[in-house]
Amino acid sequence: MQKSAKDVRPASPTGRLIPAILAAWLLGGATLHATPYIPGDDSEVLEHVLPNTDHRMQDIRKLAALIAQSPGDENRALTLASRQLALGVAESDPRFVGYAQGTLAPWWHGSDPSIPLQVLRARILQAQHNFTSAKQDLEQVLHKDPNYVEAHLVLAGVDEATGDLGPASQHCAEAGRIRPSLAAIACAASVDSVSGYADRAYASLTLATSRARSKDPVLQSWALTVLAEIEDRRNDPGAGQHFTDALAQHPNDVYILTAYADYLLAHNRAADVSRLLAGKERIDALLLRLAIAARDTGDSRLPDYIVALADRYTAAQALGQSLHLRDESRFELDLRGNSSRALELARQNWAVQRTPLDARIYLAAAQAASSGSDIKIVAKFVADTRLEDFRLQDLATRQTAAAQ
Amino acid sequence: MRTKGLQTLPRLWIAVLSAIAMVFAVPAFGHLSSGSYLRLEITDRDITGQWDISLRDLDVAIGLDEAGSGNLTWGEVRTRRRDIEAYALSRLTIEAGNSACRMQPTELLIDQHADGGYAVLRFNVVCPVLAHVLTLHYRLLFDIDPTHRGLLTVTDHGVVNSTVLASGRAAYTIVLGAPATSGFFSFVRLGMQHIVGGRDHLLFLVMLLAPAIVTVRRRGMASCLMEAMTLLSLFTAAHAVTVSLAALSIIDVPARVSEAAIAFSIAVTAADNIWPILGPRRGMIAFGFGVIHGLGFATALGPLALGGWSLVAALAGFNLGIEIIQVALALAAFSVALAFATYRDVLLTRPVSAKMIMQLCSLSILVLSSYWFADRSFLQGILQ
Repeated sequence: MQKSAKDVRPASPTGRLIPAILAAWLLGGATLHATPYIPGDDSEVLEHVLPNTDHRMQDIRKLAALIAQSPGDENRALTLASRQLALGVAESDPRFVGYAQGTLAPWWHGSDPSIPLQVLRARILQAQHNFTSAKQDLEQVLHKDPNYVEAHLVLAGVDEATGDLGPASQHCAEAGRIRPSLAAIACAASVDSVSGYADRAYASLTLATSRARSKDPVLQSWALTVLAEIEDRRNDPGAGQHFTDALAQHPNDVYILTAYADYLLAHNRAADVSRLLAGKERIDALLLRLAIAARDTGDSRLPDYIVALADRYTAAQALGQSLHLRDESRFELDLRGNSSRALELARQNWAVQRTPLDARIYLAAAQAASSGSDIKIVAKFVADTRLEDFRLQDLATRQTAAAQ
Repeated sequence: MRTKGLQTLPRLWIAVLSAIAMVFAVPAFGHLSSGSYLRLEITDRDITGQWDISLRDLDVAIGLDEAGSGNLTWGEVRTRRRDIEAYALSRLTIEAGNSACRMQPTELLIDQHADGGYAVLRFNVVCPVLAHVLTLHYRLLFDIDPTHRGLLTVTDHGVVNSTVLASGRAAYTIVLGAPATSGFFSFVRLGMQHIVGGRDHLLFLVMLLAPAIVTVRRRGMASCLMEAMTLLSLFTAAHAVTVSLAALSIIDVPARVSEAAIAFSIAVTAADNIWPILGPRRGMIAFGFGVIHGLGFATALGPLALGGWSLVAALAGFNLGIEIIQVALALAAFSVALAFATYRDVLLTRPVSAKMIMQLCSLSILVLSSYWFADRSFLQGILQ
């Protein structure tokens, strides 16, 4: 990724926003209500799926064929389901998470689930943002076997997502006590980085990424991303490089792409976002970043992007899906200028997940809607967790000063 | 820092670690999860369906990407049309009464939704019986992806209802002509609508109650009301029995026969109003013709795809709906008669008795209903 410092942010993004919103409104729903048609040409491409050459799909197909021969083999089903879940997370596609649940269907509602099944079920529920049920499963597992390391680690991950950083830290420590491991260290670093111990986390991860034993690209890219996020929250200049390094290890990871795009947008580098995400419009989270970049650069595709995003959020809502709340809040605030709707969505999202990004989006919506009570909720969260984020700490300080 | 732990890390933990990286980075999902869009359009003439199913879902279910290239082309979809239709339509059941309707595919098209390409299946729903309740069972993809959702939109004579079908709540009951499917009350409404829309039944009731109504001044309110209530109760008891028998398919009388019999019942009652010969035996008329009118009500209800208490509730609701309108009609007629009796001298310059007016009306209705009877029993048969 080449950085270009000469990109100039347009003087007034709102000046372009209004005609874009008008156009979007006029074209509203155009793609949702398109007329069905018969394609004129047999070679017309209608949809993209994973090709046969994709080794993950090959593995999944082989396992599925084995299970078809011996249905009821729980161990094989667990292997297949964890592959499907991993693919779903890597591709940022909830369909594969649904397939994982389908693979486990014979045992999913069982009254006495095995420990490995319950842990995997918790991870599937976590990926579906059903954090409450995931925690229940993991707590039951730990009740049956308090030394089950993986349950501690996964539960720490769920607790971190819901902003319960105290318990998260305890579970990481517990995992490390039972069996010292890189996983436990990584777990602690992740929690530390958002709970007032960013320095410690930074040192620990820097060391981990330099170890020969940890050259696994997935781990490398993950650790580099956490480093970049710490730097981003501290407004350190190294963040961009760490994001780029993380992407080099794992070029199509949606999480890293999203975090890096947000970083670039915050540093007035919208043109870089357009280049970074070109051709990835199909992924909703990335399309949102492309749309914000288009707004900032005056790209003529902005109205199309807005229509497409609105359609996807509408479809998700019609089907009763709520995986998009955070992004939708930002969409309403940054692209439609509807601060009250943005705040409503941010509140709904806050009830489910509470990571630093959720806090930032909640705060932005609360400030735009001038809602003092919501701003206080974020300020209290920042103070309680001792989150080190220069954008949020200022707020916490100001709130404390105002209270005194 | 437990560097020692790092050095002695077993290989297994590298794998666990990758999973942990995944666990901590909970993604904001970039795609919608699986959903289909099923639309049913119900008109007087027919029921048509349109079902938009994601090509990605169809690819997982029956394998569309023949070339394995990752690109699904129209050629690959077109040549598998039969398989797509067979797969999808075998996962949807619509029942009218107790018999399954047939799905006849008519067209396969393509549409681009917010999240990608969809196959658009159009089909006709052909039901063997006419019924007022359709039950729909949706089973698409739940075996592969339990988080799949179906968005069902039913347009019944322009009234639109939508619902989300999911695993575990994949059945939907469509009560035709009743926008809200609230069970008991929709049947109450159905009963009310049917009798309000059925001039035959209303005319019969007016004719049946007329003698009691017009003598209200002479005989007093209590006596007249008692007579009217007795007649109505006998009528209701009789039609409640026949409606239930017909709804359970225990008796089945062709609509043409019952409609002719209903016209005959109006004619007989009107004639008795002009030339009273039955006297106290009018109760028998009320009961006997109640049986016949019940057959007419039953055609509105059709065979019900219900069992147990929901069947009892449906029948009770339907009969209650009819009864509500009957009582309202009787009360309205009594009010008019009372008003007329009170203000007769003001309204009319010449002394005309209520009975004379009643007889004149009865005569015209006798003529009309005789024509209906002839029309329904002979003329239509000849035309057919």
